[in-house]
Amino acid sequence: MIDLFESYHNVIDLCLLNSALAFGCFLLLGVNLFSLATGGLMALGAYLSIWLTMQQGWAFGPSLLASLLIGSAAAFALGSLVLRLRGDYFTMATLAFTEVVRVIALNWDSATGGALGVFGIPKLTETWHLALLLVVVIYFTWAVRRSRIGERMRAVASDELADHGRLRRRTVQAGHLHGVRCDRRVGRRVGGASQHVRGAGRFRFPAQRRHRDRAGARWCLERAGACAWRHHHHGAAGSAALLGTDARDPGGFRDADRRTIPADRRRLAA
Amino acid sequence: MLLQQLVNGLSLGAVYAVFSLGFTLVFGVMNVLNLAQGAVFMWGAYVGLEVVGRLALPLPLAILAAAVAAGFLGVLSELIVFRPLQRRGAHRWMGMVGSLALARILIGIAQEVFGTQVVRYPDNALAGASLDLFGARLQLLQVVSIGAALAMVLALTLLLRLTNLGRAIRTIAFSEMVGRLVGIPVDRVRIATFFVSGALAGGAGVLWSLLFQSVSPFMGDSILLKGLTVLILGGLGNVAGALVGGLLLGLVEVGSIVAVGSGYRDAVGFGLVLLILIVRPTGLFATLETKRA
Repeated sequence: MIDLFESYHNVIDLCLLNSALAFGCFLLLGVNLFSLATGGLMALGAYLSIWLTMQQGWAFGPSLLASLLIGSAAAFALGSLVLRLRGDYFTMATLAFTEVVRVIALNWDSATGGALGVFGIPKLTETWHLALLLVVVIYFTWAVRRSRIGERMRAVASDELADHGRLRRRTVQAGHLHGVRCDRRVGRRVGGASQHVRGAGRFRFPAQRRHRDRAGARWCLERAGACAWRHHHHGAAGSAALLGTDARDPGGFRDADRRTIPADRRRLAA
Repeated sequence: MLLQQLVNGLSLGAVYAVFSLGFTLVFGVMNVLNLAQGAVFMWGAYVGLEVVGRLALPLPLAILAAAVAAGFLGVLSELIVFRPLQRRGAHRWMGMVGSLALARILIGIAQEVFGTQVVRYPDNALAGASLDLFGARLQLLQVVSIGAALAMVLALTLLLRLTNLGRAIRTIAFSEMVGRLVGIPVDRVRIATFFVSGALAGGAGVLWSLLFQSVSPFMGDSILLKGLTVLILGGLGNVAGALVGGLLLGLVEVGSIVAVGSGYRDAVGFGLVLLILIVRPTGLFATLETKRA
């Protein structure tokens, strides 16, 4: 058994490492994002840790922490730029990032060793480090998936409408689906109003609160489409009537008993 | 000098454009990326090489044979990857991963059959001929590449606009369910689409090998990434966008070689993609998704 481990410990290390990486992809797949930036982020961490340990004389622990931080910071910066993209465009943008990192690493000979790489790297990573890392990653992923954030992630994965930032654009699309020439200005107004509808939906159907993101947003889309039609044919008053909002008090809406609720109460209901 | 670089960029971009046309056609119809396209491109180059080298047939015949063989490989990817997965209700990403696996298999077979060494096409009249124009020395092959790319785009546009097959492809691209409702044989049209897509990749493979005088089992990997770049630049599922995106990428790459050296050529290309996506999140041109919406 020990012989087997000695013979194949490189393969085992690689399996453990790739498993930990796979969880990084899994978290993003959990919100319908297919990222190919993992390789680029890994390369950043790897080159930084080598530079710190071999050139600057840092110990293993601090260099590992620094690599973790640089990977997180780079992912945050990349995410800030490309999270406005969806689907294949997001995937390609992350691939572009990885390729840029790869090409820079290939050509920055003084820091990365170019195509030949860096020789004589001290082997400080043990198999048990990787096994422990994998256990921690599995626990972290499990904890995140069970948390409130995990619930939201599942809601976003099952229905992207729960992503509030896209609601406005969806409203314009809903208008198109209902055969209405719905320009952005109308979309903004209806989209803004539809947020109230969403609040109203939650207020009127408290049983849906646990699934409010998904159910509320779906209901909102249906209403927003009809609302866009009304807005087009009957003006603001028409859409306001359908939405249950008061045209004179756009912040308010009506509850199930058709009583108008002022804007400040709406926030409480939401 | 400028004219020389312009022609270099356009001929490089023309190959990118032809390759990406097949990519974008499949994406437009099935909404999936066929990542085996790079391997199909490589097999097209090898088939062309065998026809010219072993059989000693003329180059146009080699391009034709490469296109047909690559077309059948494209059909193969539909039959053994995409169709079974779709029938089992798999997520579209599974198709991407499955096609990537097929690509590795095709590359492995090519390694066994042709070896891993880089080989080149035998000397021929087309590759050797050149002409002087306003002080620039242009290879006849470069001009032929640009002309072939334009001809293929024109042929594809006419196919999509004027023929029954094209109408069927566009209907299925809009909605497969609508296609079935109006009686289009969806499976056959999809096979035809994959054949055209593979044939374009095969033709591009021969053009690329002639331009750069190198054929290897791994030549499809880099062009696959370039094809994806062009797809994003031009807008997913947009045929005209693929042409403009391909030519633009070729010009940018040649410009970057002049400006910062060949080492950073790919970084400039992919940096451009990042920049364009940040400024215009759906590519430079209107996309299928936008049109559908």
